[in-house]
Amino acid sequence: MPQPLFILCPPRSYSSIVCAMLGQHPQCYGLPELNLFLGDTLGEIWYGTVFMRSFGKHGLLRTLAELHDGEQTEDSVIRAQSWIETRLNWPIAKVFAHIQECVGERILIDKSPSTLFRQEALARVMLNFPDASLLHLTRHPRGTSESVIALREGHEGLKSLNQVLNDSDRSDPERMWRLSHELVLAMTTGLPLGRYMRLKGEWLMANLAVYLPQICDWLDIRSDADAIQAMMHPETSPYACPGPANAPRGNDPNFLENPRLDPERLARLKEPRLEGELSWNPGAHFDPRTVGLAKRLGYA
Amino acid sequence: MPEDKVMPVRAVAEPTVGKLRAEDFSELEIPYLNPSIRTSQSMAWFADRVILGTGRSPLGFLGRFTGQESPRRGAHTSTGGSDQDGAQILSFDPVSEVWTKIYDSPVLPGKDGTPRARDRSIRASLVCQTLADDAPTLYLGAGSLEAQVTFLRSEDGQTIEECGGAGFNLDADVPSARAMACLHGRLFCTPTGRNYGRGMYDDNITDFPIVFTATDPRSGNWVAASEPGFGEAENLSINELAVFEDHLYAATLNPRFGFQLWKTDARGEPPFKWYKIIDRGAWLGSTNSIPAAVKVFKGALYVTATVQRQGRSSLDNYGPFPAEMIRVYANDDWDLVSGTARFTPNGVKRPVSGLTGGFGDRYTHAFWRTAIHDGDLVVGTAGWRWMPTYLRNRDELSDAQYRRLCEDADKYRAGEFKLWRSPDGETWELITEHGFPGSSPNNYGVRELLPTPHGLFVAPTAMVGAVGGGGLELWWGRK
Repeated sequence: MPQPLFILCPPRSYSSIVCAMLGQHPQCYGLPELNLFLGDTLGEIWYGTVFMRSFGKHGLLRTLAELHDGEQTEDSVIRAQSWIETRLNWPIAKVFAHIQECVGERILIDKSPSTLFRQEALARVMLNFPDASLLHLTRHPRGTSESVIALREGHEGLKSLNQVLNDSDRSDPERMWRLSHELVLAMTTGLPLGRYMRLKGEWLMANLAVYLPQICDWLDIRSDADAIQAMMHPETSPYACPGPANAPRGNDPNFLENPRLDPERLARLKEPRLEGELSWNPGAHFDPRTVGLAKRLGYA
Repeated sequence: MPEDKVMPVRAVAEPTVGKLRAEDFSELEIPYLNPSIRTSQSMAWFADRVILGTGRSPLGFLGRFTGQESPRRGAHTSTGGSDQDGAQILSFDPVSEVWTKIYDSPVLPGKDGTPRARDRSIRASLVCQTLADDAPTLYLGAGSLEAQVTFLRSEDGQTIEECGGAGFNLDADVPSARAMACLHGRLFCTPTGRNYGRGMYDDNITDFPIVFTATDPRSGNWVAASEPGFGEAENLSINELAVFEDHLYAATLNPRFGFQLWKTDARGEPPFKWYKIIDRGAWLGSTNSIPAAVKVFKGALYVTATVQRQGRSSLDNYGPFPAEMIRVYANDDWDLVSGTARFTPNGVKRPVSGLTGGFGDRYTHAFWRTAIHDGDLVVGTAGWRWMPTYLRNRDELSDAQYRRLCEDADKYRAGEFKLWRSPDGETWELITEHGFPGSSPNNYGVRELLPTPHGLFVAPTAMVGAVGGGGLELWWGRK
């Protein structure tokens, strides 16, 4: 079986649409947010966090419903729930292997932002999948933070995100951005050449024709016109829409509502600047540590 | 990621038989040097002699210091020395092994009336036959301690004359010259530094990031060959020049976005038309802000870059970031030789050597000098660990992470620098990993390399002059 690809980034880093795009490649399978690495066993993740007892579980439910029953309905989600509850002692690697078996010889692509909630979660990725490809997807801290704020304002369920996560570090979007990227850099130092690649989301989204073939080259999969064309339609992913009422999420709500690429908007993508007041925190500017880290990631 | 996509490491452990090894180098005793001399920023092979341009420690009265500074680790080193010790130029005949002093900085009244050496360091040198020269001539740029850069020339390698056009004819604080190149009968040169208002942290930048050119440097008819910063305000200096395939290349220091590489055919009248072929630190960003060395080797232009470690970018507080090397072809395509694999507008770049930055050593701060010797590209490095700026202000690191960095920093071996060589830019081998046997613990990098028919000359740079326990060394490697 092929090694999976893990997209590592904090929320609001273009990861939903990137995962869906790459997942439409004929040799890949893009997953919704499984959030599998929050524990060592299925039971730990299923009952271990507030996050998973709310919308955090929707991605795994929808995945199992789709793969087991070929459809995502309230009934198939109920069956997926039952399947999970009878396998709570399964190690997460076994769950992942089961999904891989269902998908076949395609590269599984996971983009769960919860992988960067805690160092232990990323450590589980590295431990269970030492040969996986890691794509570190970045976005300017200003763009990320403004997007987080806008999402929280626009979606009732997310206004209480920091309470759900019970994590004050991550209620501040700037701090969440910094902690997430610092974690990726710390954990990937010294990996063999080629296992880890970093890419600015802004560059990718504004230049899909340039970067999608390179990602194919890196993953050693087809980069012909048909494959690239398939990737230009993330909306054809079975997860690129709201799920049934008992598992409606599993991904960024904005993406679920509008999963199509908008070439005109993407062509206008510009990187903001590090200087200047923070729109979500009047009078404040980025912490010098954020500026330093952003520069390391190629932002100015 | 399939196994066969992981790049192989091509460096080999043992030097090739018949090539220079560390034990083939011996230290030359250099007479005449004043006790403040600590470095050579330029050497040339001219008139069958090694021309050794030297530089002194920064002066205390300007508030300039080098050495280790770190609140968590202590140590602050003054460079010491006399204000009347200035730059010197010596020549060495490798056949007779005789040294001659051919230049000593004049001592002039300083700004405050105190007698003071005019020249701080011979920072650039090149043999060039301009339209005004009857034969190849040695040109040098003498950086000034208080005034403007002075250009020097020699037709015989024994006598030095002063040119006109100090400070590129600018009525401004332009204390030094950084790079020189020669093409179509023109000498090209770039300014660097500023003596007043900023201090030592700005030795690498200038208020005039312009390529200047002269067809008659003796008369000092310098004119601009480029617009300032090639039209980009973030280009703070033009650090390197090279001639490759009948074109002039210029590499810029750009702390905000990463270095750039520009190119012109230099035809017609200046200023010339330039175009950019490498941007954003070869798409790594600002950790590749400063180009360190350029060299044409076997059909490609090799360019090295690193992060500036003098405080302006503040990124040196977050290192270590290892040096990178790329090579550029005449058709503007390029390879990553040593560095971080990445996606770029020019395709995915994996290091052709199979080595990450610093040839696999994250504590190699700079591929500081390059030279071609005995059919190989030779690279001299500078390290991070002698001045571990990355140990300051690391609040974001856990105690364990910080402790690991400290442990690595403590592995520093005084006097260490590396010399690498490669026959093709892809397979690299070490000539030495820890300097030369007996070299000064004050040395922290290779500042000059000079290939000659009589062997390879290597000038490490020291933190301080002899008066502070350091001083300039010159090592001669020959089989």
